Amino acid sequence: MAVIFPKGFKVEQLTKAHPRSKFSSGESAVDEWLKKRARQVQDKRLSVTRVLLADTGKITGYYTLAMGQVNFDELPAEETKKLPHTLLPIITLAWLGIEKEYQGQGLGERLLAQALSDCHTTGQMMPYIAVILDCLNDKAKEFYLRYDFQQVAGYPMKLFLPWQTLDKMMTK
Amino acid sequence: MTTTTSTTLQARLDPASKKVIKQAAEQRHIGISDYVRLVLVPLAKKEVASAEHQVLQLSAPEQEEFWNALQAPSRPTKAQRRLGKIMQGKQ
Repeated sequence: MAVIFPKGFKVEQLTKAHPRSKFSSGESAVDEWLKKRARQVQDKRLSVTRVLLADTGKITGYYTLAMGQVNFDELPAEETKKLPHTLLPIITLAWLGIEKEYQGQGLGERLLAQALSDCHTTGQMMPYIAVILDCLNDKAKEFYLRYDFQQVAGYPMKLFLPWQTLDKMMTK
Repeated sequence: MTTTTSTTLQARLDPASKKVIKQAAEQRHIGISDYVRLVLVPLAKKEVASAEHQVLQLSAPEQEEFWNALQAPSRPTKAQRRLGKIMQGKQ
């Protein structure tokens, strides 16, 4: 079963055909990423951006996922000796935004659910240890904190969700 | 040190942190400015370069804290279970 969106809405991977120049979320960094960088970086195979389209074809939201790594090179020896290497894979939810006129309808929550569901699908084929949620500002952080994601030590604007917790969310 | 221009860096620190930075600089027989330039700037450069390659750099105690959290993953909370239902298309 897939995440349920309002009738006529659908999620697609970003292509040149999507009308992204008019997207306005109220956060210029979020808009700029979609308009200027998302497709370039996607073409380099460094991130994937998926857009939420209304039945009119208008972009009402988007999110970007990227693979990354956490360096665990300074763990105590008794921990590192259990590991084949110390650069461990993560997925980062780098961007998530909703078009201004569609905000306040719960679409952000559904798009977050879609992004995490994608992460779960990925994790069944390519392993990683956690999803990292990048918070652009306090408002974004407040939104993610509603779902009890924990903070990465030393990075107040990065939250995380361990794979095992995500797996339980998806299967129970 | 050959620097063409210099500027001031102000940082608000707790007394213990300030003391240990001073102590580390003294051990090297250099001033605090040189300590920042020689030790902290390369660390900052490493973090910036790592972030460009999507590698998250943490200090030793931060790595341990994160590692321990991952070894004992929490059970989904009520809010997470609700989000899970949406992920599964059940709500």
